[in-house]
Amino acid sequence: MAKKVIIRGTAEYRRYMFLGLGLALAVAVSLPFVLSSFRTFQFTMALIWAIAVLGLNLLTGYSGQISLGHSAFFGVGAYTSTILISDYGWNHLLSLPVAGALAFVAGFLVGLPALRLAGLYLALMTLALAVAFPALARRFDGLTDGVMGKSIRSRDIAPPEWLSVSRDVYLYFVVLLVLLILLVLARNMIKSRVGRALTALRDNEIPAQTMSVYPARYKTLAFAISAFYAGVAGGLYALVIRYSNPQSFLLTLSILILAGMVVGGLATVGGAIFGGIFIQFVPYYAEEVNKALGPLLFGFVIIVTMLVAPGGIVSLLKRGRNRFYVVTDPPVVTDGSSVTEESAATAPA
Amino acid sequence: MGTFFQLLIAGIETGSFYALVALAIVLIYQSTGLKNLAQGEMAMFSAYIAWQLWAWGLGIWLAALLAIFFSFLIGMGIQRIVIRPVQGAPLLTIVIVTLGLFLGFNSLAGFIWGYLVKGYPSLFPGSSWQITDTVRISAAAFGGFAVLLVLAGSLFMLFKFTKIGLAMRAVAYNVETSKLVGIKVNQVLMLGWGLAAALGAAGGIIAAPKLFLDPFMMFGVLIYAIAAAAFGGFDSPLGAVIAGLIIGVLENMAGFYIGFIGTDLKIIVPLILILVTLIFRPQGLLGHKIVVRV
Repeated sequence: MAKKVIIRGTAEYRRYMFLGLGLALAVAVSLPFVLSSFRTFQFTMALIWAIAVLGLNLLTGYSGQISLGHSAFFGVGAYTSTILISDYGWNHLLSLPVAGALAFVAGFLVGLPALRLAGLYLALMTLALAVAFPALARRFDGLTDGVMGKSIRSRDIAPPEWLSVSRDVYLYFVVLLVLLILLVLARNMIKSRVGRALTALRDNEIPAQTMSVYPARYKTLAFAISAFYAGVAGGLYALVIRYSNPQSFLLTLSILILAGMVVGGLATVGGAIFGGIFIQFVPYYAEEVNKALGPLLFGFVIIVTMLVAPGGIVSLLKRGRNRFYVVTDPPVVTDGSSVTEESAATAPA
Repeated sequence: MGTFFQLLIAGIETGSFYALVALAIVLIYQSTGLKNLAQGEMAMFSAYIAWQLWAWGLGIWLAALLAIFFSFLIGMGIQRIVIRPVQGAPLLTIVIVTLGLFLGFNSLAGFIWGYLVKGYPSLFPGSSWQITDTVRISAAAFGGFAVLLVLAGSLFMLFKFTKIGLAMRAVAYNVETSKLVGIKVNQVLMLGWGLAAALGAAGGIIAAPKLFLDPFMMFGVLIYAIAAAAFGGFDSPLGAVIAGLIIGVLENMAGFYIGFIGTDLKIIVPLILILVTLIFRPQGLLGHKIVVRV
């Protein structure tokens, strides 16, 4: 029996897309009403990790650069929100854009020199940044309260009164909403001129340059946007955990985010959610056995994923889906009449 | 003036193990074009092996030599099992794999030995020599430096005067041509990883008494070693040794003389050094500019 073929962009394709996305959204919205408040908290955290993973994926998946400094940008976001809320009495939601913006600026400044050079220099610079960040946070203890850590009073993060839900449920929806906005933004960025420029640079820099795509400009932009995502995730983390100290933002956090990205799937938008769930739940169950088992599994899974299924969970799901029906791009029309067989057959699913 | 010389000696002492790890990184980079981000964690793991052998009652020198030998085997095994399957894959894939190794070794050490800091026996006696009224050289500082010189010297001899060394240089220069003249490239690469792991192990074992052994011991050292490799030139072993020593000295001096940096922010020194190198001499002090044909 011939497999069903669905062509991208047709009404049928859209119907399936809306159905799938609607179903996913319905599940996401109903989760906090069926789960206990602790489970809700866990899913809230998973979605926060998903935001950070998504940010890193914009950088690594689409522009081929690796950052190990996302723990630092995450930390910048968390401290920004914490300080604005508890020292300056800001509304907790208003602190989020500022957290993102500061991380954006920090990312821009770090990326400016490192991204002018090809290769791994961004990874090296950001590695040093991640190691230096806790020391910096301790050093500026006037702002961060040093090793003591800084907390937010719980009454500063109260759900608005017209919403009669508990704080856990409220925060879940705040995080979910932010994630949805950022998902749409990420998708639009990838489909835009910037996204195409980044993919071109990732795949082959020199031809891209001859098409007047200026590498440093786009890579720095991608890095700063990626840091913005990490900063917003950090801000949300501060709202949910309400406590930040320098030990919360170690290099290992960066590698966990990276692991989530690899597991979810490089260069996918939806993979971030699987990555976030992975980051939240694997250590939770593994740590019942041994504190080190969680990270050990992460290291193992990173390597195995890269060796066996470099596309992560999303590619496995796609492979499963392709057993039932195939999704292809619309066939390429070359001269107005004939459709090349080749392009229809080899178009990636 | 006395303080200055004392800082210089302390700098050379820490610089010695930065240089050893940097040398390991350069060794792998030279033959495979890969910057092994897990080098520091592998060295930490080797230091744990030596500690375990010592705790079981072996003499520390014997324990260290055995640990270095085991690390050599582990390095070869990693190349064979984990790195070879992704050889030729995009750089990103290989880097992610080394990060997996990083996390793997770090947590494996935590899994086996726990996260409590362990006291570590020194390879060298605790004595020291009084040079002038204010300057003294500890046996540990002298010994660490001597180990660096001996190992770097033997590596140089290996590269320059043996057939294996020649093969390694050939592979570093051009893999395809090496295959054509009958060099077993895969075995040479395995040997390269083994040697790098052994060098790193020596670095870890020398560093451990000073830094105290825990799974996070090498985080900082890795940064310094990478800064040393970048500053010296990723394709220059001599550069890595010199730069490692320079960075050790700079770090100690900056921590003492620049009040803002203090002991807490020393980590900024390598960061700035990488930055300055990237801006003014991206190929490093003794490295070669790479020209790519399109």
